[in-house]
Amino acid sequence: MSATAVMETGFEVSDVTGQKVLAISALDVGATVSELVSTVIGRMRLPANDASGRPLTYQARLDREGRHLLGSEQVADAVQAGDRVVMQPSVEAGGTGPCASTIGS
Amino acid sequence: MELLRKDGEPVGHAALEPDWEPALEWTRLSGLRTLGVWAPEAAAERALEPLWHSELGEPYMRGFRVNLESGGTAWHGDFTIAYFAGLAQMAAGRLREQGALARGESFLYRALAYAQPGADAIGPHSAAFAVADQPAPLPIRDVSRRALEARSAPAGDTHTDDFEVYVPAHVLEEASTLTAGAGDVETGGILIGHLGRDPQGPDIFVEITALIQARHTVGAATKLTFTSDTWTDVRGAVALRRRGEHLLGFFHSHPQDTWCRERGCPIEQQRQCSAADGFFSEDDLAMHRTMFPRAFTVALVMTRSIRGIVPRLFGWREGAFVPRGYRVLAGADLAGRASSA
Repeated sequence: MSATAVMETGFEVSDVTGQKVLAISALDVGATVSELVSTVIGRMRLPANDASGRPLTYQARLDREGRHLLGSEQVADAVQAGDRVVMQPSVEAGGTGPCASTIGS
Repeated sequence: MELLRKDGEPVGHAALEPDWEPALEWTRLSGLRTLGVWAPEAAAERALEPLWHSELGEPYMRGFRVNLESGGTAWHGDFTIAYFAGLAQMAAGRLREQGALARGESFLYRALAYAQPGADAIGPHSAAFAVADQPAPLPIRDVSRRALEARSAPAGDTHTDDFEVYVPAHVLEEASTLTAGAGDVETGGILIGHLGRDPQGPDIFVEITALIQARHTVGAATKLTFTSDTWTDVRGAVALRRRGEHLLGFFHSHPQDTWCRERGCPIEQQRQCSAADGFFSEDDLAMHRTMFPRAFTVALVMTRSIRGIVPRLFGWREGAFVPRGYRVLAGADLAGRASSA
C-alpha cells in the first residue's frame, strides 16, 4: 500500500448507519486520524459533545482490518484506496427523568 | 432570545446556538413523503431564513423556514419558535441560578434573528484532504400497506400526521424479556428493518424486522453506554442476516421500579408516577441525535415499574423527539420488492 494511492483515488468515511457518507481524496501524507475524525464529525454534523457538554469519543474503525485506528496514526499509512472507515462513537443513554422523585434516566 | 416573566417584564437575554439538524432532517423527510424526493446531500440545503413575527416585526421571529432543492424540485419546512423550547429552558435555568428568575416561576420567551455574514453552512474544511458528499441511496421496499394493516393493531401515542411504524410483536416481547432479565441496570438493543412505500401512495412507512441485543455495553442503574464495539457487533449482525436492513433506532430500558425502591417512593405514588408511562431524557435524546439523526428513525423505551413492563415508542416530529404511535404486527414478515428513492 502506498500513500500516493490514497491521494489519487481516495476512500470513504461513513457514520454507523451508513446513511452519511463522505468521500476523502487529495490526502496529505501527514494527515493524522485525529484530524480526519474531527473534520469528518463536523462535516457530518454529528455532535461533538454529549448532553452534559462532555466531549464525545468517536473511534475510526477500518473495516478491512477489523480494528480501530489510533488517533496518532497517519491516515495514509493505514488506509488503502477504496477502503471504508466508520465513525463509531461511545455514547450514553441516561439522565434525569421528568419525575421529581426519579433518580435516573 | 429574550426571556420574560408572565406579565411581560423582561428577565434576561441569551445567545442561541441551535442544532438545526433535526429541522433539516424533518424537511428532508417531508420531501420524501410528499414529493418522493430524497435529498441527503448538503448541496440540497439552499437556505435557512427567519419568519418574522407579524406584530413585533424584525428581528422578532415567529419561526423559521428551511429551504431545500434537489433535481429542480424545491420545497420547504416551516418551524415555530417552539423549536427553541429546550434552549429556552436551559437559559431559564441559568437565570434561576443567578436569582433573576424564581425557582418554579414560569416564563415566556421570544426568539430574535440577526444576519451573520460569512456563516459557513457546509461545515469545517481541512487543508490535509478534500471532503465531498457521497450521498447514500435509500432503498425503499414496495409493500402493500393493506396487507400490513390487516395483520396489525394500533398502539402508543398516535398522531394523524405521522408516517406509520410497524413493530412485530416478537420484537416487543424480546425487549420485554431483556428488560425483565437485566435486573437493576439498564439494557438495550438496536432496531433494524426497512423503509417501505405502498405502490398506491407516496408516503413512506417503517417496518421494524428485528431487535439486535446490544453487546459490549456498560449498564448501570441510570445509564447505558453503547461503545464502539457495540456498533461493530451490530453492523456485523446486520451483514450476517443479508437482508439489507437499516439501523432504524434503538431500544433501552428504564428500571423505574429500582429507582423508586431506592428512593423509598410510596407504592401509591409509584402507581401515579408519570415517568412510569415511559419518557425520553436529555441524554437519551443526545444519544439518538448522535446515532440516528434521520427523521424516519425511532426509539423504543421499555419501562419496568409497579405497573409491569410498558413499551413506548418515540420519534421525530417537526424537529422534536416525541412519543408516537405504531402498529403491532403479528405473524410472519412480508417479503417486499426493493426500489430506491
